Amino acid sequence: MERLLRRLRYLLRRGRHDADLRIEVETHRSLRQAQLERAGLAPPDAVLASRRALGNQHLAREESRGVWTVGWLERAWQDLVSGARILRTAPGLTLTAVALLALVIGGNATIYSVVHGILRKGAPGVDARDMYTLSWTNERGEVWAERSYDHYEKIAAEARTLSPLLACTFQRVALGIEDGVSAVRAGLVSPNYFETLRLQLAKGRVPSQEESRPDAPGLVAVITDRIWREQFGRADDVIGRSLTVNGRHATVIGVAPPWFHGAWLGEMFDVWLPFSSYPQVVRSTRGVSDGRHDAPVLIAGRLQPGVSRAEAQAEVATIDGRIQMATRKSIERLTLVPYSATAGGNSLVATQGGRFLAVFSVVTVLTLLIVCANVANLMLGRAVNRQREIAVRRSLGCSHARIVRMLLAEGIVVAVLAWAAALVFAWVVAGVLASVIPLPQGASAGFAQWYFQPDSNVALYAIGLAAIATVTCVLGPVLFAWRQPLTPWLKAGEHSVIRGRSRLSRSLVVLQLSLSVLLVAVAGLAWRSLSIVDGLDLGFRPDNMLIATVSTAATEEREAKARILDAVRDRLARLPGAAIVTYVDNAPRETAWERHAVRADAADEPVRAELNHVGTDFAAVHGLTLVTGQDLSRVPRAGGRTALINKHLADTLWPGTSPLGRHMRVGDDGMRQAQVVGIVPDAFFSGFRQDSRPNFVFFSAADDLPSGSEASFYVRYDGRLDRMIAGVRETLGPSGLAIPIVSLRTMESRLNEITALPRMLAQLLAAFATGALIIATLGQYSVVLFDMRRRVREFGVRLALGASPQRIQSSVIREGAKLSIIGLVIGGALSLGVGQLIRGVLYGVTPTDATTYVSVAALLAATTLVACAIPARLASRVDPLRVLREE
Amino acid sequence: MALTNTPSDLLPGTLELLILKALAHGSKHGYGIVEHLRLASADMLAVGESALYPALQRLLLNGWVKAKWGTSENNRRARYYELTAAGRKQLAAEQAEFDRMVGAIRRVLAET
Repeated sequence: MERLLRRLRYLLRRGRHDADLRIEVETHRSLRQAQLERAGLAPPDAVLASRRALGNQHLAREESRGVWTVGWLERAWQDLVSGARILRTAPGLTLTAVALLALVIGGNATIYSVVHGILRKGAPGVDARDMYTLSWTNERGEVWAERSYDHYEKIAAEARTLSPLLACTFQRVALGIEDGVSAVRAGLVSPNYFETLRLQLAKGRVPSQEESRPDAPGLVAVITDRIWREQFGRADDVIGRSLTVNGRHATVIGVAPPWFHGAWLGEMFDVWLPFSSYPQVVRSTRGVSDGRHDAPVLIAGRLQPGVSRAEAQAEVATIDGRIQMATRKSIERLTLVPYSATAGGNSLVATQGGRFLAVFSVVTVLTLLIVCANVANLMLGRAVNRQREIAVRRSLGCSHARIVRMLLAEGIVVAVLAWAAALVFAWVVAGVLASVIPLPQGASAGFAQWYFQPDSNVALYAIGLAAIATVTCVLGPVLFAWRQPLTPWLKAGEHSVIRGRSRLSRSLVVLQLSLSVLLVAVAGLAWRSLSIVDGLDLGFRPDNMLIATVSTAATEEREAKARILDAVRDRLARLPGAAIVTYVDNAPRETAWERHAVRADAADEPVRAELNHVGTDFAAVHGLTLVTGQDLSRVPRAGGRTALINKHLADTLWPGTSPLGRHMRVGDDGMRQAQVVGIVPDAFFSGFRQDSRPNFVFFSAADDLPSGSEASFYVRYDGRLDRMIAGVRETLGPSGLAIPIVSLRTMESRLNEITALPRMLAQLLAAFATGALIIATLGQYSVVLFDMRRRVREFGVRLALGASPQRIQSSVIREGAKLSIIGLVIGGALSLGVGQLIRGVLYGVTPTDATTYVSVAALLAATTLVACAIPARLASRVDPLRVLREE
Repeated sequence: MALTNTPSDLLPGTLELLILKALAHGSKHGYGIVEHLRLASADMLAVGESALYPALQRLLLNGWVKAKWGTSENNRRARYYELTAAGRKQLAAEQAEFDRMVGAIRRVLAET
């Protein structure tokens, strides 16, 4: 240990050390000289004799240094220093190679850091290690992350391996602070919520056990930094201040740290309340029990120290299975999903994220391969130019291993520079992305930074890519140097003609071209798919439709709520410019509306249909007229529930006969019955999805007002949107009906959100494909140019013999086109295969889409011409006289 | 004066032992050590003078000696080496080991 410390101390001051040794030895020599002079030698002789007495000083100094350093380390350092010489001897090549690698590593690291951030990171401030989210999969493969609070309490009481275990649910509430009331998102959380997340509050404290009991006297709340800032003006005395939640008095006891909006991105909170306050906060309109035990909650927990995920999974699944057995007919399989801010549930990111990641892993590998092939070609070119140098080195006794080490050192120097540049690149781009990407509703500034900024994982990932890059940079030159015969190169003079380029470099170009074709084809397919989706007829006119979502959480009774909703509809309908207004329970969103089993008769096989509750004029607000039957009525009907269904469902349930007046059973148990009063045309009412023939059931809201705490209104308007929005705000605002607005969006922007992921995918793919094609074209250009230079003599002779410049040009272009055609064939075959894999993401196009492939071929023909144009021109302008003279 | 650059005519490790012994009676600089060895051995043991320095570095690395800068007899900067406690212990151990070795060699040679 001490030896190691002494060694380190030596390394830190090795320059000093060498100088010291020199002084010391010189003193020694002078003493010896003095002694010899005393013995009678003349001073000049004494100097020489003293030097002889010392022997080989260089060797002594070298050995002294050797005592302190570790041999192989020293040699490796020497190699690196000599490798760094590439910077001086070939700056252009190094710069190009570093830039190419830095771009591809940086680009991929950015993608990785964003995807990694969204898919894997926990919420800010949460210690995500060893945390798992509970998730259930049913026999149809549908994933659910929610269970009742009752279910949660039973698991939490028994689970020993996954403990503590938290539960939380999301409720839109009306938050009253002083005079103002606003719609905010509340998290109703189990008592151990903050403890499980290991989250430190910025101010105040978390709810105590007493405050979390159902019979607790007062309501307590923890608020976000945002509410503290915006509603309390960062007041220092915020703890103990009061506010109202859905009209109930509550006391602020804590403030969460900045950026923390709850453990899940999908459900971001503004305020946290103990779960026990559920009956007070959520006014049950169902009138059954207090609703507390049926409330669906997300569940996550932390592994006990020393427990593996498999053990915890086994224990929790056993407990859960027993609970399910007692209450359900079919058992849903429980899995522990590693906790992240997006894990669990059926959110878009959770369900599609994996596929997204897979597509981009492939793209990463492809672009990396293309760039590596290009850089390998550059390095190979250098190796060709250095054949003589290598031959001389070898003949002077330099071993193969030494040459490999030298080339490897060059590769490492290039890769390390590229890695560093890539990290800077990724850092900057991620920062830009974070400021460009729209924040989730209600998130604080800086929130996106947390998710997108590269962390140590990203740096490691980039190191991995850089290592691959090193190997590819070095492999070609090493192969080349290894197999190279010595004699011809030693015989040839300094300016010997470089002979034919290896097959290797041509194959590398073909590899680049075929992989670019693959990327371009896939990107093309994605664009085609997107344009089909965008141009798709939704079956209704989404333009000029505004969706206003309001919170009805503050209203207790059903009748009162119905009255308020009626009032809202009437007031909105009277706004200037508002043509038709209707009420809906659910507006289009990320996921489809809830799907339920529908049967014409109890004995029938069920058909699955999306269910919504709507008001009068639902078809009309979409710009549609009923196929047959009549519209839902405004007032409750005495004879039971009425419903509209779409044409496809009608044809499926009652083929060949009129569905009007018939009754259908809705739900797995068939408990809810409704009479069909009208048929609406087929349309993508809930937004576009993979399912091309969706079924819909629309219950009349007048008969059966849903119990949710939110309601939406569709407003079809004429004239200007901003006026309409201002009008709606005014109507619902404090001076009007004073109902908290949750969101105000156009139908089109809502629908665009649904295709956001495929859109992003297509854009990213296109960006990568463009880059890949440019790099491959440059690669092709350099190879064609190189070939042309090699054949200058041939062209000169041919021109002298009377060949026309056009002939020469076309022969150069033919050489280039040969590479392109091979690339096109291989790339085309590859993309057929990959197209099959990403079929799930593509809508409307088959992986063999002819238009796409024809366009790709045309594009490649164009880039080939670009790549060959300059070399061809140069070839046709070779001066025959000069060539012949040189002969 | 017989000059060798490498002390190959010494048993391996003997040079370090001799240096440690030379320093046993007080600190010396490099020249001092060489002179001490020459005088003490009546000119029989002459090491290649610069070969002394790698050996001294090894002793420094092992912590058996420590060095201090001072002034030489002719007023130049010289490094004076001094035994450490560990160095003394090492000297005793190496001396015992050397005696054992020489004894063994002697016994072999004394065989008739």
